[in-house]
Amino acid sequence: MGNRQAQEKLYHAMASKMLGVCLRYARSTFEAEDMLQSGFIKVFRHLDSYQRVGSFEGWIRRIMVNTAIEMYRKNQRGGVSVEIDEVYDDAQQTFSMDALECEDLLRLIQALPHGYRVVFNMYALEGFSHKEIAEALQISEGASKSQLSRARTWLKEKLKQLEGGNYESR
Amino acid sequence: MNPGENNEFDKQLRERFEGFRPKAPDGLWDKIAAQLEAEEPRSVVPMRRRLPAWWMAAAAMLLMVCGVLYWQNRPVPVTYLHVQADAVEAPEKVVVEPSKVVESSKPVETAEPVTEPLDLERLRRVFAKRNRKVEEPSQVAARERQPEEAPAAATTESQPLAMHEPLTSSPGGLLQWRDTLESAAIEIAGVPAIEPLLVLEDEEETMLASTEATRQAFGLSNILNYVVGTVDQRDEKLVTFSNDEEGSLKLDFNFGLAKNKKKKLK
Repeated sequence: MGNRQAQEKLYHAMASKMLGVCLRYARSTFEAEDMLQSGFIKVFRHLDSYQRVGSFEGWIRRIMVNTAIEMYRKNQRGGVSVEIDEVYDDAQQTFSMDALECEDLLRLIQALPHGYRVVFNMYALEGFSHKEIAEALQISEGASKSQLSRARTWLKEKLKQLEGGNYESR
Repeated sequence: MNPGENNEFDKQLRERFEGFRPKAPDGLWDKIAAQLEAEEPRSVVPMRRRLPAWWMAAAAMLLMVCGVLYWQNRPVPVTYLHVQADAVEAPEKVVVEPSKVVESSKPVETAEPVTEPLDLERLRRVFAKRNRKVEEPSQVAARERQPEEAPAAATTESQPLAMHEPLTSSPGGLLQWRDTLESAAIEIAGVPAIEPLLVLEDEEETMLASTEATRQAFGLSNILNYVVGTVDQRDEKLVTFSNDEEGSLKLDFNFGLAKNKKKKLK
């Protein structure tokens, strides 16, 4: 079937990049693959609704993020939430991410509590505003800002620890 | 933490993940393709369409078979009585319409009473039978059931009457006519057995026709029984059809079978 072959080509062209997006939002690789599958089903189902406004890759990426948000909402109904106990607002030290692999950074992001991770991804890596995040996650803008700040501080602290460890190991 | 520092932190992370291309797992496309295949309505619709088409074809075949069987065994029109009367020679026509016979035979009696003295008695017998029939119309059906008497009467009545018919037209050459009439009588005697020629009123004819239709070997009740038999394979059928004496369709239910079925279901 010609249509199916075209879909397969599109999948193979975009799957790797979109899996990178899904992995940042997911808690595990298994969850990211599930997210990717659902996202591509939506892409193929709503391919006719693509308005040719903006890039095609951006449209697919947005569908993947929406899929991640839907899964987050579903998990939220389960009532599982983990708070960051220690927040260091005075983490002023600088550090370099060059020494870290993407997989190491990804592992740190996946270790964030679920809500914090989604807010951090949407704001810091996708470029959403706090208003958009609040509407998408059905939280207040203040809560979005607070969770972003805490996630960012927690990540910096963990990166500092990793850098120190690397330094110590050298 | 100042905003500029936060922006720098976000920017660094963005740049690191910009070129992040993890390998997609093998077989994920097959899962997606299978899910797409299952969601497409085309895979469901043919299954829904196949069954009705199959059943429609089977029902059409059954109807065609029933139609052909019914056509082959269709009821024969009752007008054969008139057809047979026409097929016989002219003298028999006189018997079918006895009123004309009465009118035409009167001058014959006066013209030549000596030549055929027995004709008067036979004519009286015909009229007597006709009068009896008018008085007792129910006996016509009984006469129909005893056809062995009717042919003899018909032939005996028809021959002498036929001999009288031409005499009215030419009273001159009696001897010649006699010879021709005798030969005609011999020919008529050689005609094989004729159907009972009865003078019937219209109502009686329709009654006979209806009784004939009820005796059909392949009537509506037979078709219905055949259809029921194709569905119900048991020796005793749940529903059976039959015709009563008046030709009305009757339904017979075997409630014993229905009760047994309920018990089995429980």
